[in-house]
Amino acid sequence: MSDDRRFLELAEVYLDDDLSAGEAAELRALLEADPALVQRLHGLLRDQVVCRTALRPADPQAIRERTQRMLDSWRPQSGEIAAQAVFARVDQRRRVALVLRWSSLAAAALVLVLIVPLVLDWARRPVAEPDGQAPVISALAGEVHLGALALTAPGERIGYGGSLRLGATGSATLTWSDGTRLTLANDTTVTRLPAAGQRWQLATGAVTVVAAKRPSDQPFEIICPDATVRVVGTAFGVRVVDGSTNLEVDEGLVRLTRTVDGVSSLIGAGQRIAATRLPLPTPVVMSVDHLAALRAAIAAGREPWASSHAALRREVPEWLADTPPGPTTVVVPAYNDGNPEHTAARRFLHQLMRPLIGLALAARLEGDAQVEAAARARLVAATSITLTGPDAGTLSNDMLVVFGLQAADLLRGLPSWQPEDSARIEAWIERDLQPLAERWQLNARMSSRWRGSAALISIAAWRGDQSTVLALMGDLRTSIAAQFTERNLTSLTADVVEDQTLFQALSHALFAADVARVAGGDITPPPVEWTRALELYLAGLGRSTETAPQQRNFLRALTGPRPWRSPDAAGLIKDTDLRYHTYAWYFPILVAHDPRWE
Amino acid sequence: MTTALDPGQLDALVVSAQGGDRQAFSRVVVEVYPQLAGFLAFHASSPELMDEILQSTFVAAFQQLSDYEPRGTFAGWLKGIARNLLRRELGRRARLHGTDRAAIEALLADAALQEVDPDGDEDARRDLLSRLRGCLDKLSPRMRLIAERRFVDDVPLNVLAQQFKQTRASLAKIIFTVRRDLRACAERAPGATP
Repeated sequence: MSDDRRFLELAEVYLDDDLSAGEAAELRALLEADPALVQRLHGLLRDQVVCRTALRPADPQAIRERTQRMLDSWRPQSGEIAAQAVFARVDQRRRVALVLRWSSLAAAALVLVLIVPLVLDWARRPVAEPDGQAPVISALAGEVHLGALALTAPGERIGYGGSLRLGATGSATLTWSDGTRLTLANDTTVTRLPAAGQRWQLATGAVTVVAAKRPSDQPFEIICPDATVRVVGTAFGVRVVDGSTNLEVDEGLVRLTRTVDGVSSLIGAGQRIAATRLPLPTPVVMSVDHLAALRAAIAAGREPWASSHAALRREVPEWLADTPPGPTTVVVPAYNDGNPEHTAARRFLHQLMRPLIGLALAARLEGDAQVEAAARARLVAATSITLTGPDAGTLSNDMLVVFGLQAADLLRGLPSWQPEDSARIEAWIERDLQPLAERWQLNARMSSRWRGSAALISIAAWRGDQSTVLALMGDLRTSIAAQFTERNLTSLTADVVEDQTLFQALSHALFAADVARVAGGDITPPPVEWTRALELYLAGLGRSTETAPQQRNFLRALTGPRPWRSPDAAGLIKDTDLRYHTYAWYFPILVAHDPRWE
Repeated sequence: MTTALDPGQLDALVVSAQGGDRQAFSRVVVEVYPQLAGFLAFHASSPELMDEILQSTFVAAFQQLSDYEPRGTFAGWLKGIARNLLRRELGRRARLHGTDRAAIEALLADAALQEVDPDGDEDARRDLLSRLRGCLDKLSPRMRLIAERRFVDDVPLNVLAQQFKQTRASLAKIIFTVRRDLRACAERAPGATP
């Protein structure tokens, strides 16, 4: 495909606001490399607007109706429309209300931007039917007020503008006919706002939502002081403390949007996040701001990045002098507790992939063309390797997918990356990587299953498919939570073989979490239960292996406290034991510590 | 910017609106909407931005209606509000950073910001828009269908590609050609074919 065709394709997809993360990075790189393309894209978009305007003339009747609706909700002398009064009126007329907040002329423009979805979408927005969507208070206890009315029994319906205020002893549950439930904690105040779906303003306190599947044009939204939570069908909790929003998702996906700047991210099952932490990284291994933070940390000599980078630099000359292998087939026999052929196959791949990820990292950090070319040559070599044999999936997942795709993701942020390169990687995934990952995810062994999950997360991250990344992480968390109970750990750590199996499983699961975090935008720290269970496991680990101190160090590094990394992680710079995937420089630079969150 | 009403008639409506006549303001909006849309079409960097500024302008105008002094310049006054809102929004977008999408948005906003001219040739633009409609009729039936689906119905590229059994890249190229030909046709003398 020619560059021009690709550019036009990306431009049209941009117009649809439908670019994947990878495509956005690609288009951005094209535009930044060539200012003339910016002008061209701008001209193309302008032509689109002109064509659209010319060919879709305004309908006077629709304009009149929209204007009328705006005026119906407007009382200029009031300074700020009293929401309750407007909502009451809208309830009577069964119309969509417009929430117009005017504070001053100077603030008007900002307000206009913020209320665009409410005010400017007049014609397209369906008319809400409050009676059909008004929830019922199905349970309550303690101090609960509906407006000025103190409630003593359930059964009330909440119409538009209805405001529930719970005191220190209050609790309440609202239910809808489709099974949706909204549970209010004590000291919570919510107000129902008019909308095609459900829109609730959470002024303070905490609510838990279990939402039934809904049409996408009728979402369930919680409007908080500093953010909006939007969901189609899922379970989540929102807490507002001192005006700040904290979201915790139990199932499905939620979009959290910060009010002040409109920044938003998808939040997946098991994730917890404050609105102030938005946006989550998009699914790329090293975003531009991540790269800038790393460069700054290295330049300032901050640890562990400075030492990691120094260690990385020391190895680069050797890799540059080394020639990557040509296309070859590698047979991977079963491990069987130390099969030397299995170990040889792993070592072969390790000698290919470790320099690959190292060179890709160095190229991205430093922009050195020679290093970049060497990394690209190794990536081509990696895509030419054929793995066969009973344990091909293990090495494919551990080595080719996780490190190969992360390296490719690093390299595609550089100017020399071509669409053909992306096509090569996609073909590699389709042909080799994904089938093995999917097979391993269904494996009976825990460690294999979680390896498969880690690989599938990497693949989804490469494709910019954040929804899949978050969904897979949700499944993985559930699986880990089921395995890492204190009872399970007590019995498993009593058995030497199971002890090591568990170590493998845990390290791969945690590594998958790292891939998801770095490449998939999931920055949720491991839950407290993991850390507790892990401590228990670590306490018993020493019985089964001489390398227990290293294993302990590795796992502690993966699961330490916020920024959820043990200070011991810096020690891993000296520990390059390939079994643990702790590639001295790679681990602290890319995985263990993200300076953006320090 | 011109309307079907002359400036004096438009002012009379505005004065009525200033006195609380909502029907009058509604009529004002209907009168000036196409012209304001025409103005913004040449300056906004995306359809979404155009719609946003278009509607924001009317909201802001209604809010500030008492500031307008009826001197036959209402359309220009409105255009000034639109231009200011557009500049402010483009300026905001030009400062975006962080994600790749934001960076693209910023680059485009910066390019658009350079073109928010104070006084463009309104008549030429209006004529261009008018001729574009005529040029659509001169496309082949298939091209016309693609143009209508893309420009009028806002059908996403992915969906269109499936409907027309084309790859995304091929269809993007076709749409680009249709858009370019339409514009070239509109810029030539009336009666020309694309």
